[in-house]
Amino acid sequence: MLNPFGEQSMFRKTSPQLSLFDIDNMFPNILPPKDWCRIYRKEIYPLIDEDKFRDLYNEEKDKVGRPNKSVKTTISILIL
Amino acid sequence: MSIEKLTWREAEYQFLRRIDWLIATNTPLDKAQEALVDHTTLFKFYCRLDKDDKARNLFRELTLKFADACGTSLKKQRTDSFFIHGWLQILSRYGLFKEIVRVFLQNLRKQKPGLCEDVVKELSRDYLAKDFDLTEKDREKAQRQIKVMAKDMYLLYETFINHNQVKHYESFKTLAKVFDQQCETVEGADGEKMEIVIREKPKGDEIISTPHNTDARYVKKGKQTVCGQKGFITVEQLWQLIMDWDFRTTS
Repeated sequence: MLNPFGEQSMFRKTSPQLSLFDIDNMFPNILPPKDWCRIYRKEIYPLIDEDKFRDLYNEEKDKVGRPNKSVKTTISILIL
Repeated sequence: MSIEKLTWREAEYQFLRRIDWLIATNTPLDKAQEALVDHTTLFKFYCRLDKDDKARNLFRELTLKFADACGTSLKKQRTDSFFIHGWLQILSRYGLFKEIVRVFLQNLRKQKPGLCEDVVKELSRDYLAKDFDLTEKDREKAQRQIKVMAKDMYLLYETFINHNQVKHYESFKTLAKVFDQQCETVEGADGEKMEIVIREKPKGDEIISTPHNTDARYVKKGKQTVCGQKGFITVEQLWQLIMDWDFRTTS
């Protein structure tokens, strides 16, 4: 059974769209460019392949209900 | 950056309040509330990952790349140990016997209410009573009660050891194991009834401490008594990045 978006479950990948309210736009110098968080975002965050976790959401009960929280964010929080 | 010891709730709380976390997770300020992962979701996701090898592989892969990106040398590493405290009451022998029988009877009442009703009449006390106390301050009384409860355990063991279904219940297996570890049966003098003797020290190495987690062990470290599991983490010494982890029961 497909959900209204044509996917097999409510699994959603994180939107790559940039925001005007990105912290770097709003407070460009709040942390130094070599701070760990910037390195993490530049080097590590893009390496999290959300497709690898798609099967975690393919259970019957996940075919209804609200879409998942961002896998990238969740994994990052677990790492941090 | 250093090791942070956060509970699931604290991780949820920190997310909206840490500018470095928002930057690291590429979360814009207007979407922070929407992106917030609550502690229950975080825990459930972790549980799902825990069943899968890909989590550990991903963790290793990302940590190594992160260390490399930060220019961190991995030559200096140390392994720390820590205790994961279980939500388990530390039980004396008195409490252990009482709780073992209660857990078994509770399960039996759920699965086989008729059988349970019949057998509880034979026992010395109502183990399923609501005001159930797992402690007894009077030491002599506790010792007497331990013997009575050991008889109850033996009665349950004898009643169900040959029952096709009940003997396979986990709670029954635990009861049988605890009885074997803590008590022994000896022939009474002059052909009298069989007697149950409480062992001075429990038999074997893998002593069950609670029916709720048969893997949990008590261990003393200094003044603290821990019932739960022991964890090991390997930490790189410059930034204290966690490079590997392992968990095992305390012993």
